[in-house]
Amino acid sequence: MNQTASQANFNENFAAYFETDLVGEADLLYRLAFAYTLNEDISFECVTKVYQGMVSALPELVKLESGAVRMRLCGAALRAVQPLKPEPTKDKSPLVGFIKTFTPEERATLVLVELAGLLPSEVASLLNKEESDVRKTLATARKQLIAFGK
Amino acid sequence: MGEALNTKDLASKLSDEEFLYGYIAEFQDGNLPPELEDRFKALLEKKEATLGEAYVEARGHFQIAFQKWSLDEPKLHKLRSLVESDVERADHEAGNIKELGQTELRGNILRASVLLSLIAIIAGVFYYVLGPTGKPKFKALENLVYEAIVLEEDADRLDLPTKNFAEVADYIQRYPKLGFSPFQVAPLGEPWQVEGATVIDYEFAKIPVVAFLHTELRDKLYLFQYEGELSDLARAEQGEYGPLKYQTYSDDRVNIIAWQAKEGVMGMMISRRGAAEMATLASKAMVK
Repeated sequence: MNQTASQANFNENFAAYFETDLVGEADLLYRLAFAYTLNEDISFECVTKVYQGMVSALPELVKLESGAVRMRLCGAALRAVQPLKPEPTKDKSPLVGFIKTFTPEERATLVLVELAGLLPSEVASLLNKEESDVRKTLATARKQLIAFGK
Repeated sequence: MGEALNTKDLASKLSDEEFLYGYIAEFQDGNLPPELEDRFKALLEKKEATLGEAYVEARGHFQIAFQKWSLDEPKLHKLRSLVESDVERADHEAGNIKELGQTELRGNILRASVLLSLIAIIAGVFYYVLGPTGKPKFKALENLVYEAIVLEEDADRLDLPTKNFAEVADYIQRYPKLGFSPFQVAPLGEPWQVEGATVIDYEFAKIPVVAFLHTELRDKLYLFQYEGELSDLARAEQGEYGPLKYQTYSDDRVNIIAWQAKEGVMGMMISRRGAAEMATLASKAMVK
């Protein structure tokens, strides 16, 4: 069946939004997934799963502010990775060595705040935790991060 | 997860070390809530002075190190393909290009229209400013009084000096391209003798004039015709002689009467004679 002009335009606009705005966040989601799983392949699978779930939500997403969209994507990524227990990477880089010292949730917290730029209160909301707990996690991770950076 | 705490209550749940490192980003970025500043600065004084800078530097290294984990183009392409296939994307792009072309065409037509309008306006302005001016108003009183005086002083200015009135009448009626249809002039009768005629050629008007001479008093009298309306002249004393309705003017040397000889054609008589006498003569000059 042929699409009407308005349907085609409607879908075309959503597709453009998906391919530019949403996929523009893919690296961040990949890093978040990697921080959690420490496995590149599984991380990309999680990212793919996140984006598959976003296609049907496009009419709703296009109306949101970019910050809210990022929250939505990160939340979906966390839900995708949390059940996984993948084989960790064989990457021996200092960064991997450093982040391996934290739990997956601590690593995710660090990435969400220091890479994604979310507020501790937003991360607490995503992880279903108290903000004070997120601050405590951050404090521990930052203290070690400063030491690692020296 | 419990209810959200206010900032101070939240901070009170943190040890000094947790508070310092937990809020160091806000402090460095200038977003530390004012109610937390005193505690934070007091704790910071106990640490190395460069702690804030050390944190910012370490955060920068962390961000850069994580760039190692970036998706390559095939993976990004795979993600983009979740919303539309390459074929669909190509179709959309082709449609967009077509639409862009149509938009461009419409834009070009609009621009061309605007440009042509502008050119027309500019041409109009140039024509108005630099183009030929409209036919100037003929200042009959001013010009013809001058002409009458000049003719009186120099009879040689008559192109057709003749005492034959028929020749004068014929000369005026046959004069080419006068620009209007002159009325036929009749003799004034004794003692007024016709002396000749001429056509004064201004660039914008041709003015036929017949010269008469009072054979006893040697006064000259000039009968002019020109294209115009009585209302073009300044309002002046009005007179009537039979059907002739005229306006009278005077100069320090001559008197003038002017009348509407026929539609669009004025008659003007200038001499040293009085207006009333000229009115009778004008009446005679108009062929019934």
